Amino acid sequence: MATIEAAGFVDVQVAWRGRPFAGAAGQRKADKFDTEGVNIRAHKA
Amino acid sequence: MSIDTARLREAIQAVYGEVAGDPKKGYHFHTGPTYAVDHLGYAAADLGDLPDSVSGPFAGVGAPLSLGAPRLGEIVLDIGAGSGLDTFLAAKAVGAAGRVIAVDMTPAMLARGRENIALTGLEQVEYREGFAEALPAPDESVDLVISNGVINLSPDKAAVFREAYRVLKPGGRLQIADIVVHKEIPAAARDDIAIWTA
Repeated sequence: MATIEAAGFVDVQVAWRGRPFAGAAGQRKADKFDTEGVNIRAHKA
Repeated sequence: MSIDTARLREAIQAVYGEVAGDPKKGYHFHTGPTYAVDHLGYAAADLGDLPDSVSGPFAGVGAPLSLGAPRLGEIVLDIGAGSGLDTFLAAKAVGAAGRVIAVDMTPAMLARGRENIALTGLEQVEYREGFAEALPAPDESVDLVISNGVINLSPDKAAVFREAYRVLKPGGRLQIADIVVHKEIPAAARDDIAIWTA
């Protein structure tokens, strides 16, 4: 989020969180680092 | 961080080149339209009339267009478009008067995407070879930047967001899906190309 704001974007919001690796071969490694998928919106002022 | 960017890009191109050619082979991540609907919330009806050549290699991690559909006539830029699931959904939304610039660095995905323009007849899509950190588009030329599961693969995420900001018109929107980790990745792992692509 900070990286997005540092680029100049405003109103940065996380709108969804999910587990895209659930059931995939890479789930164990994803879980090890507590990985989640996010949808993020922002805009340029 | 001492990751070799050129080697990392080669490794990513190898993985996603394989996905483009053999999307059902089985990877450490999910692929395809059923995954998109069941895990990420895509509407089955939206995907139903896209050819498998578009939706089969899909390997996104969220649904950027669920944050808001592009408007008729708008210009959209898709960072790391791949075979184009979000690209072609956006193309339908912007219509023939709009345009979707699909940027990708993987030759096999560029080839697949260009074939998909012919398959879908959505001529408002244009595939351009390029990197997320140096987008092939002029300043303030785009209404909406989208991306799905790509920015995490860049070793310079700040540069990606600066580029997205540069190409957007004032008031333009950024809608991305990506992965975040909540536990610290050890320094040695951050320098391991196998971790980036696994």
